Amino acid sequence: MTAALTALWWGVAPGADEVPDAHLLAAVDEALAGSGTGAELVCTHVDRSGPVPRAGVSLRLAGEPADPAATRAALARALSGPVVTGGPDAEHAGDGGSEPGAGDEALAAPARTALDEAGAGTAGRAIRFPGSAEVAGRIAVADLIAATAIEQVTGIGVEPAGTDVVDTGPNGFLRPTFSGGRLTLLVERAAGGVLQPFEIEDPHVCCEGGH
Amino acid sequence: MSHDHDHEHGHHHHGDHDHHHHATAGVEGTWADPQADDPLSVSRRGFLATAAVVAGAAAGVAGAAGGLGQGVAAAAEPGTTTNAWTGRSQFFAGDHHIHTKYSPDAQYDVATQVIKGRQYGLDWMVITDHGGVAHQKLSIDKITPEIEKVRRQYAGTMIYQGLEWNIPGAEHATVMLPPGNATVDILKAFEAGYDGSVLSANGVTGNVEPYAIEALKYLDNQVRNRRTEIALMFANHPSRQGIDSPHEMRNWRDAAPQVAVGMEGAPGHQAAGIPTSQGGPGSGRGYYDNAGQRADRFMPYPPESYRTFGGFDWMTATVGGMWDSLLAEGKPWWVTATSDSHRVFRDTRVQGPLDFNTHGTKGDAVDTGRPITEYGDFWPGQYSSTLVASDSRSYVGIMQGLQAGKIVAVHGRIIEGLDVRVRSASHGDAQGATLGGRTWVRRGGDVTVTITVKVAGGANANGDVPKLAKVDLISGAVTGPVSDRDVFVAPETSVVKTFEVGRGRAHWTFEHTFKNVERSFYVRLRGSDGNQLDGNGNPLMDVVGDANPWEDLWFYANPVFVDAI
Repeated sequence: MTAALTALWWGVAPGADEVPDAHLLAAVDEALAGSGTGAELVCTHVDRSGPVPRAGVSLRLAGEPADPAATRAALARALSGPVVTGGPDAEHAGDGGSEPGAGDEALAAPARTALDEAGAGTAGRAIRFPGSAEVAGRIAVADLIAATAIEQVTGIGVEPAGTDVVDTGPNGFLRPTFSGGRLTLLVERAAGGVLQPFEIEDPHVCCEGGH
Repeated sequence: MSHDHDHEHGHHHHGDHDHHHHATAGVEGTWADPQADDPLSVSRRGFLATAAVVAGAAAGVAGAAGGLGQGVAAAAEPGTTTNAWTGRSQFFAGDHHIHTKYSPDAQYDVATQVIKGRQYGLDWMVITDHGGVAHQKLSIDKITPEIEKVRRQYAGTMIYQGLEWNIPGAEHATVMLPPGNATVDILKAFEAGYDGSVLSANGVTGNVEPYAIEALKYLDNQVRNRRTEIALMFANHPSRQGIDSPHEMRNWRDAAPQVAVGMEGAPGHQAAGIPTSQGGPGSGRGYYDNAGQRADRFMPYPPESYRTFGGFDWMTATVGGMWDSLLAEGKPWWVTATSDSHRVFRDTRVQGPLDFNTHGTKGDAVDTGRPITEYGDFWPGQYSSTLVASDSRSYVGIMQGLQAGKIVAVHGRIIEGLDVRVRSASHGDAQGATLGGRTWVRRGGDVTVTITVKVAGGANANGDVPKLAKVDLISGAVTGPVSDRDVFVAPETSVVKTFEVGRGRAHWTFEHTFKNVERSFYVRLRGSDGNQLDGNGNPLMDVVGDANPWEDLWFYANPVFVDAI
């Protein structure tokens, strides 16, 4: 990857432990509003470098913001955590734009992990990706690959053919993950002879979301 | 779970090898001391737990001599037998995982669950409402008289008071005690000190795995100090979220092998997979429908571990998988089948209106008059049964049978009984051992497994007379304690023989002989209606939204260990 491309990836370490996907996207879009660019690919990551796993977020921007420092600061405020950017000119914006200190390095670890994993395509769960907004309902595997940034569809207990149909649900819920450099959608069999994404929109939540 | 598991706990464990120790250290004070139940005394409890384990090793020997328990396989020296075969096993059907309106996500009173369980043939049931701040403060005091009343009304049925414990750092678990003077006090203190939800509410965060270890030692100490005759823990729905890591399960087992004795081989919520086209909820069987998104999951677990196979948890259903990796250590770890009954498929009632946190209950369920097809549970005993062989129809006797592993996990009445005898008629223990037990053979000798299965003599709760099609004999080498406590495979375990079951008889007897046995090993059994098998005879991964449990029935029996000496 060239430095210019690398610079379009940003990593964030959200201050909150569990941010629902929709809230995360809303916060990102709000922070980027008026910046002259937007986040075309947004992934969640898990950083395991500390004693307890923490969430990280990676963004791929459609272009360079007009005022990168101001946009980074806005993003750091929106997600209550530090933002790091890739490339040799890596920069770091703390919460509210303060100068980084030694303690900030640990705080920023999930942001670094997110940036590294997304840049290399080794891990990361995409909650927005090019084409994701246009897909809903049932779509053939080949069409899904053609219409979106999803590069491959792999199955558990089934080998998907291009003509196999994936039921993405009424809202087109898709959470492909980076694996081996490729954005991959994992699917399994579903009722009615179709496939469904392994991650579905509304899995059963036990104990009313408690422990 | 957490990855930085520390081996410091191993220093305290009092597993099989520690029983020869003649420790003389005493316990400071006594667990009968009411102060020990003070929830604020957890740190003191931790100190005492360390001291008590040393004393407990000696107590354990005395307990065994006094006939405590029916023997735990791994506690035996080579050349001894536990769970000796008698040919007179009597099974009692039960369920160790049942919720009531004293859970925030459930709705029935105790009597409703007990009446239904009796109707479906259960002899024993454990009431396991969720641990939590409101449950500990309010629900226990409210449910205790309700349980006592129902016990008096249905004297022939054993109704245990238990808890669904939020294991710190992991999944849920059944904790069960027999009725006794201290039972409620123990449950309250345990929940206040060690429930993951209560700890979290108290601001305890980070790696909380050590609290699970201390919790199990606490229960073990209640037995050693004779505040209760027996206490048991079963890990519930272990693979559902991928957060019961292998090292945590081994740590629980080794911290208190007389208490932490097993797991749900099959989770409850078995109706959840009934497809919408058949009028069902169309969810995942067992509510195993998530993709392993929790940050604290054990990363090496594969995607399929988040699904059931033939209704059973991946850990149990995988030959050479997690369960076998535990058994290959030569240590006990038993599997069960439960209902996890919260709200029952096609029942007409909804939760009561009360605020749970204020009242410790949802109040009485409200009848809507229309069957609710979104509910994913069965009544206790309606689909899942844990058959336990016991010498006595008593609260402690049933628990001793559970502790000893004389257990068969059964779905949909696919079998009614099972007699397993493993012996070496001419080269070792000629009497042999049965489920959960241990027997021995001289190296080079033969070992014969004799299986008599009693098939269904009538219709199950779906109105079908199930037809057992096959029984698999599974065997694996006992390779001893693992060096990597996060291992979850046992490559040497496989299906060694499949017996086809015919028609027209109530009992079928099968036999297999292991010749020229040179290594210690174990055997276990599973059986199926044969409706849904892969090319190797294994269960299929259940399809989310398309898994009618009545069309895919299995049983799993617990192992017998054979020492080659």
